[in-house]
Amino acid sequence: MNTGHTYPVPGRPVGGEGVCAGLPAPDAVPGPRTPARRVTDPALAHGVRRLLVLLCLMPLLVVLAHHTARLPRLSLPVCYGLVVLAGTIAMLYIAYSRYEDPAEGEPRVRPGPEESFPPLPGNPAVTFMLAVKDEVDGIEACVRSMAASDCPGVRIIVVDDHSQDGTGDVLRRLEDELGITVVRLDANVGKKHALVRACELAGTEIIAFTDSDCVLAPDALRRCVRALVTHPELGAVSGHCRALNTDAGFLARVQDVWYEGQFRVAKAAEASFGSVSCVSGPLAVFRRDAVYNYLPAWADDRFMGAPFRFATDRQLTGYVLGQVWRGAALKRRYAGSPFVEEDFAERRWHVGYVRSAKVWTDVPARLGPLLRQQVRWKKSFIRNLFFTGSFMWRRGAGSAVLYYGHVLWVLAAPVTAFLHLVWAPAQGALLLTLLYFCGVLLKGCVWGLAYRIDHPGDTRWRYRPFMSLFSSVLLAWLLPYSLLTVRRGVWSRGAV
Amino acid sequence: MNRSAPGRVLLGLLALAMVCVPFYGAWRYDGFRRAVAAQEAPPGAVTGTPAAAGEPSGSGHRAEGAAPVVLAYHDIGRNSRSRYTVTPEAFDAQLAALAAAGYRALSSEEFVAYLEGGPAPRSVFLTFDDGAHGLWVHADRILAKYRMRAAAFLITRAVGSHRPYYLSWEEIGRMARSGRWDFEDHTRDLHRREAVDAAGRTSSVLTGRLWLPGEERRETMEEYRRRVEDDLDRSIGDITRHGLPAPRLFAYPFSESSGRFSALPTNRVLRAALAARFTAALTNSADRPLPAGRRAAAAREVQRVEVTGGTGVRELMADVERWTAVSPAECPAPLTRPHLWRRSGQSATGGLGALTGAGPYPGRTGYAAASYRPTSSADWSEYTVEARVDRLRESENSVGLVVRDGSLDPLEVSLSYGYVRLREHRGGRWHEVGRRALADAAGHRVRITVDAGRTVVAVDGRARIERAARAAGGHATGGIAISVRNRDPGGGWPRFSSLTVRAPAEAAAAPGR
Repeated sequence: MNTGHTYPVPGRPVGGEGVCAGLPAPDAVPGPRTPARRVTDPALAHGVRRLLVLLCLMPLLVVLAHHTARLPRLSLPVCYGLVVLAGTIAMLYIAYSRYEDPAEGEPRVRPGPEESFPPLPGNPAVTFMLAVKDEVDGIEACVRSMAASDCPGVRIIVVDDHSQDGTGDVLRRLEDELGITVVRLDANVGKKHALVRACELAGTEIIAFTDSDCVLAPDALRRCVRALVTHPELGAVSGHCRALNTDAGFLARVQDVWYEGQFRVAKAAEASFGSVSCVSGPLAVFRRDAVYNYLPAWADDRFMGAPFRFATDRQLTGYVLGQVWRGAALKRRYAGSPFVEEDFAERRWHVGYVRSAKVWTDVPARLGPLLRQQVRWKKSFIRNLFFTGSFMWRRGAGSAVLYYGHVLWVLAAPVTAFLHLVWAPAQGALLLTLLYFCGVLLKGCVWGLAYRIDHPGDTRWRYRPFMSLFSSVLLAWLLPYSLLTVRRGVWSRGAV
Repeated sequence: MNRSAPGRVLLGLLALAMVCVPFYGAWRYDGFRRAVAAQEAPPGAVTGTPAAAGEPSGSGHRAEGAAPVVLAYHDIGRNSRSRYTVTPEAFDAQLAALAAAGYRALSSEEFVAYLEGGPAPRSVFLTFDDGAHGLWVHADRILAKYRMRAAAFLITRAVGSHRPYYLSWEEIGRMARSGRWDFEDHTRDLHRREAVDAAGRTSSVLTGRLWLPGEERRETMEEYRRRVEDDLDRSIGDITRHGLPAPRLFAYPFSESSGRFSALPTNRVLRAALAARFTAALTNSADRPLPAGRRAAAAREVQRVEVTGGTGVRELMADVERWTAVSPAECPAPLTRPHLWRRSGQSATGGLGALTGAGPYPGRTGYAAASYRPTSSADWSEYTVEARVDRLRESENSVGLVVRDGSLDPLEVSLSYGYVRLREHRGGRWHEVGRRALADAAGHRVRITVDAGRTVVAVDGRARIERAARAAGGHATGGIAISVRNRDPGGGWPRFSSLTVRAPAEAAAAPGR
């Protein structure tokens, strides 16, 4: 049973097709009025696809319409539920009808003529970097999958951040065998600084990062590079991440389905406006001229008076997104750094997402590490809110609505969780609690159904509602905790 | 590509339509739902069985009334603080009892036809005042269950307002189309009380000239007439504008047909305005009994039996029984049925004993009077009543026998030891119109024959007085009332020893025509 992405064995290329089964590529969709003829105009094909998406969304639209008609008479919690429903519908619509994979086909919408972006050479050189600390079990698979990528002109640099568990020996062996560059650090500096050290050696037009517990599809990097080449307006792209260790238990499978939605829908929606807010660590590919000048700022990032150890991928993406407004000041602050020697013009780069670039990462299989990971992510989100949140409104209505809507959703989550799980039962309004759970499950099922449509025959969509439940009941409470402990940070990226 | 532009535009419009249609549909549906509420299912199987209806109030026989009884409801609902709201369960039980007793419910058309001279055997006319929402939510389904109909009297300005208290025009349309409802008039905007004098005393806005605070005076008669006529015309217009047939009936707001502080001319103006527009006006209280029938038709005013939240089924059936018209032939010996008499006068209690000699008496001297089934004998137009009285004493006591009681032309025959006097009621007072001397005796016989044009009085088979009726048709119909008077503290009260009523010889069972 081919679900489009089988568990990859390191060193062996996975079946070449990278397109998810589900909605076929645009030029294969016959128009409803000309069933026998292939429609060659992508605009028409897009129009038809839009109708199909709206048809699938019709039940949700009916529910939303039914309640919106009664809006003046509704209570605040129901209004909030309607806003969430409207946001979900909008995101699904955008992701399924507006999003185009930049690695495939010609773009339908190009940026306006007033913005100019320097083109990349047809076959640019790529530096593919990795920082690792104490990852002796998974590092070999990871590096081998990096080496197996079929992108021409790739230089692999691995930074060993003072590992103590034998990772160094594995790297030495691989260095000889695969011809990668290994940088050994004498002291532990943290992931950000380690990667920046590697960047010092990167003189290529494209720099890419991955994480030490990931495995890539062989064509993943090539697709990301192709996206950057054919779309000069893209300053960075993210790959599509799934869970590697789905055999590790129920929690891992739940997270796997969750990741699929977070990328296929949420990131795609952001990408359709060119403002992906977080280029995810497992496969993050940047143009040098979009990010190089800001690497020292990234390494030395401080928040509330202390060095902020987290905020890796989200903050770095922020520099690409907001350099027109924040870049000059950062370059001035770090004027002495070698990274700022060659000055790249600040441009209003787009940040995209390549759905066909597949990467798999280990997810925490037990509750403890999962919660710690989520706390890290919440702290990263909080810190980044003060940076990206300060200029995202200038990047256009679509980008702003998606970004600030997501912010509101994250901030409101603990409030609504408290309201429905603590306050309502205390008041005896158990019906409200029931309504809340129904709404949560509805949202989870909608996302699950989206997964199901994309992966016919895959029964894992049933795990998705659990994630919604888990997120509302447990993860929502992490935000206040993260707020209170935001200054506490350690270097820990393990997926134990 | 330019050649695909029309295709793109078309697809874009289709997409826009797909997004808009659910919202438009939901908006229309919500508007519809707000205009037309959901109906509630009628209460389940009736607990009161036909046996419950088979127990009449006390007459012992089922009256084959030839006139409908009009029932007055307001709202049907639950949890209402108003005493006028009947619960759906109680309404269901009442209709079940009426249906089991064989009553039919009339439509407005049938009722108006009856008032104008048509037939109406064993029927009721259900009326609802104010047009409250409970009629749609509860009453409609219960009426359907028993296959009955009703008339709702709308305050036309209030329709659709204060939702969900009043009906909406959409619901009214559905009720009219179901064939179970007629819609009549309850004014447009005069269902309220406002000040009618400087002191601020309030009265129904329909029946009284208003106090105009800005001008420190009361309305003139002309202003009052114009205001009332304008309101009535606009309310009729409201009803016909919505596709309903023009109302033929009117119900007084608060059932007040005359103002508390107004003079007669106001009532005359009001009655003229109503008579010009409606066949009859309905009220729950009148100065003389006006059950649906010839008298009420002639007066253009019909009195109703009020049903409130506290009215039980048995009480309702007793009321209906009491108001159901009977013919003179069905009441041969009225004195044997004391519960059918209504006492009036000094002490209105104590049964019939004060008039039949059994006592108790209101005192050593005084007056006692009673009328015989005033609400079901209002249409008696031809009958003969014979009475024997005794224990009369010279100059000290007397008895009275009234015929055409409650009409516009009642006649009292007063018998004393040596005289018979005839008195008629004019201008609110009794006037003597005839007198004959009799052979002095403590007891006399009297026979009074009432028919369409005259009244004939014969005492002791000898003295005979004939009087032409001053009123005609429904204005002259009425039953009997008796009274006794005693001025002698030491003496005794006179009494009626027998009383019979018969239909005229040529008609066996005269309908109340």
